[in-house]
Amino acid sequence: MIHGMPWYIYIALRHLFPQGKRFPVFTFMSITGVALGVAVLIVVNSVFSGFGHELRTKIADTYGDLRVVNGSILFDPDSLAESLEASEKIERAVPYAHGVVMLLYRNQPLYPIIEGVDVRSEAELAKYENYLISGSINDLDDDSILLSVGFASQLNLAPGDEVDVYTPLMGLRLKNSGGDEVVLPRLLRVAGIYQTGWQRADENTVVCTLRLMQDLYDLGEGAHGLRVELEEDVDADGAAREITESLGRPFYARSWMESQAEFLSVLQFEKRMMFFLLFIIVIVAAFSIMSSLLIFVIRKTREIGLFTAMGATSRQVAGCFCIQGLIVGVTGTFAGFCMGFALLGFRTQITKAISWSMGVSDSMKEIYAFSYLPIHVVLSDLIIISVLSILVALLAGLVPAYRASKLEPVEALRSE
Amino acid sequence: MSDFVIETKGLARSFISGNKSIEVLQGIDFSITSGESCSIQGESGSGKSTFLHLLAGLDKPDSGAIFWEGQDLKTLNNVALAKKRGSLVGMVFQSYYLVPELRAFENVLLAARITGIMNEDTEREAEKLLDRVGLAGRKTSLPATLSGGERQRVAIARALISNPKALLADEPTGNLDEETGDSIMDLLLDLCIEKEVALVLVTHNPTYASRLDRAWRLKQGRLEEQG
Ligand SMILES: Nc1ncnc2c1ncn2[C@@H]1O[C@H](COP(=O)(O)OP(=O)(O)OP(=O)(O)O)[C@@H](O)[C@H]1O
Ligand SMILES: [Mg+2]
Repeated sequence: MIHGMPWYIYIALRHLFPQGKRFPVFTFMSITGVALGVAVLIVVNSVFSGFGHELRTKIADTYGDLRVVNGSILFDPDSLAESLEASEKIERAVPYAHGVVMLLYRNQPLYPIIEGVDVRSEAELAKYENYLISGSINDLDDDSILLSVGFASQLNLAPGDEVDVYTPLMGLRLKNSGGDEVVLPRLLRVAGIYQTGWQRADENTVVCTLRLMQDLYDLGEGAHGLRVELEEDVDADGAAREITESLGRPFYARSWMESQAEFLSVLQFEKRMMFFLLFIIVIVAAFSIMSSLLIFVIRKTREIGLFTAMGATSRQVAGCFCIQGLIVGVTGTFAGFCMGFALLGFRTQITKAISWSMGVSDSMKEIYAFSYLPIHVVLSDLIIISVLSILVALLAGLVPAYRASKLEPVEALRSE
Repeated sequence: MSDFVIETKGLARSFISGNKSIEVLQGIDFSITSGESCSIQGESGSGKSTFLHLLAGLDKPDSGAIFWEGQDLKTLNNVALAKKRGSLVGMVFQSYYLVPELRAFENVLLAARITGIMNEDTEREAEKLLDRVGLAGRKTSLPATLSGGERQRVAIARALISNPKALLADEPTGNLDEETGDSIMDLLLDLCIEKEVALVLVTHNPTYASRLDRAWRLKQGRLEEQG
């Protein structure tokens, strides 16, 4: 049997799990309290991380891992792209152009951001093909555009519809010619409608070919910059810094994180706030451990006197009760992990059941453009969750332990 | 090294109750040698339990000194005191004080665990002791399912498992009927002789007192030997 185990650990275990008792209710309740807190933390944290991860992926997808600009027009984007692609960190560099246009449909003007995509790159096209919810990518030519879903719904546009597009350059041309020239809008057909799931990209953007953009903005063979996709696991911020350094001014490489720094920090902040708020559950559980252990210490006063009479030191007595907090913390955390991962494993069924019982259908898809609940389990978060909850339970055991160790043995033996 | 297992010199202890000081013990000289047995009688409130607690080093005297095998307890720090207490004295109380979460057998072993002498032999020793106190068939019983007499038997086995040099018993039969009390007393005396353990027995029963080597009486803070 357990000879080597110090007596105070043995007694701590026996206090929690008495011999001859099948179901230790108090211990079960304490453990469940911690477990619930940990499970909720794990579930919510993973779902938050999942949404964040999904959004980050989509931002990186639509923006590109990083973009290289020089503050004006790149007149020879292809040779710059070629030299960048020589780096083994870089998968591809593709020219792009972007700007604002006025789009007129049934006398209703809107001012979308327009992005010119180099259709020579299959990978770039494939990306938009993924996001297409109607129309076809094959219909995208130099006389057509793709609309973001939010934008299309504002004007009630569908593939096949035609719109008039005015560029700022047209106004300039008109002014320079002294009004002699007739400036006609460009008639463009809607080739498709896409939805990335990232609100900002889905609200007010349209996509066209780079050649059309070069035409509209009078760029010749030039572009506004290069979209760079990195090889897997290359840090975008680091790569951007390297590129900026090696190209020198006026070139500047901006990673997708930098481009959306504000948004990403809000995302991060939300996750942290959520963590702190939910951690309160664990703290409440710890308080209940503390109070039940305190009551337990009072109930066990004479027993504590007995331990002392048998040769126990006050430190060991303290250890006995502190360890009970620790055991509850460790078991509760473990149980919470099991519960949390079970919930995550059945998340599809659970969200279905919830939306069914509330009478909403597939609400996820409408809002987030994912038909499933995205989760992302971050190891460091799990470590933080377990360390903190075990620590808090341990602290909860410390107060009763201190009380127990301060009992005078004689008083303890005399107590009724 | 002294011949005495426990010795006290000029032991005094008082308590403050309200704004009055009660002088419970006033200069007690006492000693007990290995294997010796003695009884302590006295009226309720005369300070018998207080004296026993002092002998066990659980309480500190206002003045005077306590010696364990010649060593002054004042020279020991708390940890050393606890360690020595575990190996030198065993205690039996009026109300048993068994740990309710542990079976009889584990209650006995607990003393060995605390004293730190657990090994393979200890379990066999505990079984033998339980057999000896007449609980061969109740080793796995929980305290709640044992009678008062049976509980006190477990407590006696527990007090002896760590082979103490002295057994301090505070009215061990106080909660038991006469017949059960008699059998517990027989057992206690036999075991102390068998194991050569010095016995200090606090009792109200003059018959029990007369069976021991020496009989003391606590009266007005002093210890008197009785004829
Ligand atoms: N912590 C304390 N504070 C105040 N008075 C105390 C304290 N402990 C003991 N006393 C007093 O000391 C006296 C002796 O108590 P003690 O328990 O030693 O008596 P006793 O001889 O064991 O009595 P009994 O036979 O009833 O067990 C009593 O008057 C008691 O009230
Ligand atoms: Mg008493």
